[in-house]
Amino acid sequence: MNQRRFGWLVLLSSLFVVLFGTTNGHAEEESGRSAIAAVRNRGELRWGNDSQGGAPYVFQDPMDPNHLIGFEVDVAAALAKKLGVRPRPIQGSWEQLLPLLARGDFDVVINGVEIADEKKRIIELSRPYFISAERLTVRKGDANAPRSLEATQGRKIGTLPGSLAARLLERSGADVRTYEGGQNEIYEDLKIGRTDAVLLDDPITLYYGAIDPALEVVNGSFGEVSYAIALPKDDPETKQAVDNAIDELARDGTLANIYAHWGLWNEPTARLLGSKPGATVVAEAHDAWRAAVGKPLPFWTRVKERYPATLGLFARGALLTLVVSLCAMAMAICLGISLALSRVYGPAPLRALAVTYIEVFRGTPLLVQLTMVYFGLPELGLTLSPFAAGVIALGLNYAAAEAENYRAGLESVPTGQMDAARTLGLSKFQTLRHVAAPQALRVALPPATNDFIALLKDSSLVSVVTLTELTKTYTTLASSMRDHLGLGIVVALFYLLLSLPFARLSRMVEQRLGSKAQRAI
Amino acid sequence: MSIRVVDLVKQHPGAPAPALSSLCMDIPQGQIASILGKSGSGKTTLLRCLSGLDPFDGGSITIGGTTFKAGQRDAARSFAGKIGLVFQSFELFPHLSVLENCVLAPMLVRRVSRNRAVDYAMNLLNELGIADKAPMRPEMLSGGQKQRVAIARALSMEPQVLLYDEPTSALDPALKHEVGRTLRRVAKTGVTQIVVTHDLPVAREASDVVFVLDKGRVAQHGPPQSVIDAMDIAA
Repeated sequence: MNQRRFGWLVLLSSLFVVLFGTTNGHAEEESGRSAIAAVRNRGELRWGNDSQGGAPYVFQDPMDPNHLIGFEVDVAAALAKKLGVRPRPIQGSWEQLLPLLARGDFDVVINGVEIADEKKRIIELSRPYFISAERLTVRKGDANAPRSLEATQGRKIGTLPGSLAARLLERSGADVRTYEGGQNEIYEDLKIGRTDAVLLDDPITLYYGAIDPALEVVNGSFGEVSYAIALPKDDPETKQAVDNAIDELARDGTLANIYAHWGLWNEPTARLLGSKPGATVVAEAHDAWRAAVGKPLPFWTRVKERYPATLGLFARGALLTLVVSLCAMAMAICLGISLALSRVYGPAPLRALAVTYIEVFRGTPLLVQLTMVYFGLPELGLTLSPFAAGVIALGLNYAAAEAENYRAGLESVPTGQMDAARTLGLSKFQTLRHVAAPQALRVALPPATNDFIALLKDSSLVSVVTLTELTKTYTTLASSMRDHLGLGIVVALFYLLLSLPFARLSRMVEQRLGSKAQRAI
Repeated sequence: MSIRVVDLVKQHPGAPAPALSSLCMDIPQGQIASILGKSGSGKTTLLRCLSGLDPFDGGSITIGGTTFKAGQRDAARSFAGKIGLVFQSFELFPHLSVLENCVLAPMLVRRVSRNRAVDYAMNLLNELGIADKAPMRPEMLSGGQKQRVAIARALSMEPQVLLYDEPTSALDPALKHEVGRTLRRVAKTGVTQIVVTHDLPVAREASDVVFVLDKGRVAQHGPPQSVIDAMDIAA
């Protein structure tokens, strides 16, 4: 290892320090005050949603995915306007939206949150702003399809987890299949026969089930579910302000117009709001959606007309993936080196500590570690920003793998080499730096490169902490544009674009190490 | 410089008998001493104690007036640079060229400037007839060439004593007499040399004095002719 490369290590580790230095999350500054005061102070309403959930709630415009649209985007905008602030949507995984709110990452969640008592343990709910019923969708012409709630008994029925639909199905004894991803997949599975029917809320049925010529929506609806805005717990001031705003939006017809514009106006909601949409409002938004995705375009047409608009989003996702991965790898390398040195040369207690660390972090899932770092540490008073949490969780995890690589490298250096260095008078550190490390590097480099490429891919997990990296960009785009295959090829190309240069770089370094003698110092 | 070993004791942990027990030897400056003996007689242990790689449990080693006693913790570091060791398997640094192998320690340990270290190393390589191998990696060299690089590397620290562990074992028979010539060339510079070997012809040809070890003691010593002839007869 020469001076320059050593300098690199120092640089990387200082980068790591900088990273740690900037981890105090935005949530902290506002703790102890009501969310609404912070919103007004900031002039911005941070509202959480998962655009992968899809139409008509919050989704990327299939004609121009750089724009977020949906009836809840309109609701959020109206709410923000009433509060006198700007709306700012923040992306989070749907199943994590409420924990993220509880953690302080958003001010509110507006994303089809159903009113249910068990949710109130961690968050507060506003008064309802929309009422929906559940509808069954089946394959067109399927004579055996379950066409009533009773008939779902023992049948495979797709729906969203934790929803009223899921509870209704469980009560009827259906074989419930829940999906964490987008709503599109639920209907795709029905179409290809993986499930026998889908039970979902009216709006989803209208935007996915009803527009598909291969599917049929069963007449009649089941149950009734109210959507509310999720709010921080124990914050009466915020609840009061949001409830008042919803009241006003209901009275002045704003909400009614929004629902009518999206083709979602229904009887129960009319009763709830006590107002009617304007006579001139038509379901333009629904028509636009139908036009955009109702009839799939041929592949080359999609490539030419639709994909160019996605490239900016993909590039942004790729950049985040790359930055998260580089930072995490820098941390993994620094920590991995210390672990490997402790394990190979350290005294017994340090050795045991290193072994324990490696086994624990190698033997438990990354997702568990990430969840603990992001959602668990705040309980101990340490609130990390999404970026810091993602980098640290990935770094801690990959440090274990790196430590094992470097250990293998160090152990591959014959003891005779160490003896030779000692008889020449080199200190322990000099021996490590000039004799052991350069030889270990050659052994450790190929697996370390593999690890980095694996890390690039594993970094997709940080999407659970609101970071829209490359994979999340793909899944949300695929959901809103209803195109999994074509966009899948695009995202694969982006990943290859990221990983291939590193594979090549490492091969070059390997060849250099293998063929040319290095300078001693 | 002369070497005096007095009552050297080395006990490996767990071993039934000491590897070295009250071993004594005197070697005047500039002489070549061969150390013979069956395997297990303590040859390698003696070499490791002399080179400072292993600590010893009793007695003392005096090198050119400096005495190291048992239990001195920094003995190895004090030996380093004064005593060079040519390993049986050479242990050249594979990632460095021949020249870099010979400048690493002088630059790091003795803080010699690169230019001076290179000049000195090139002189040594020249002396040993391998100056043309300077830019090569050790893996490109033959056994005999590697050995001379190992000697040059040890000499680059300007040691007063040079130890050799089985210098002929990795060499073709045809090259063995080369070793003797190299030893004598080094001896002219005043370096005291100790050669652990089981190769009787080399010991007879190259050394000034021979020590035969048995059970960790010096069983016999004297001029090579008489000691080795006596061994030949005994065998």
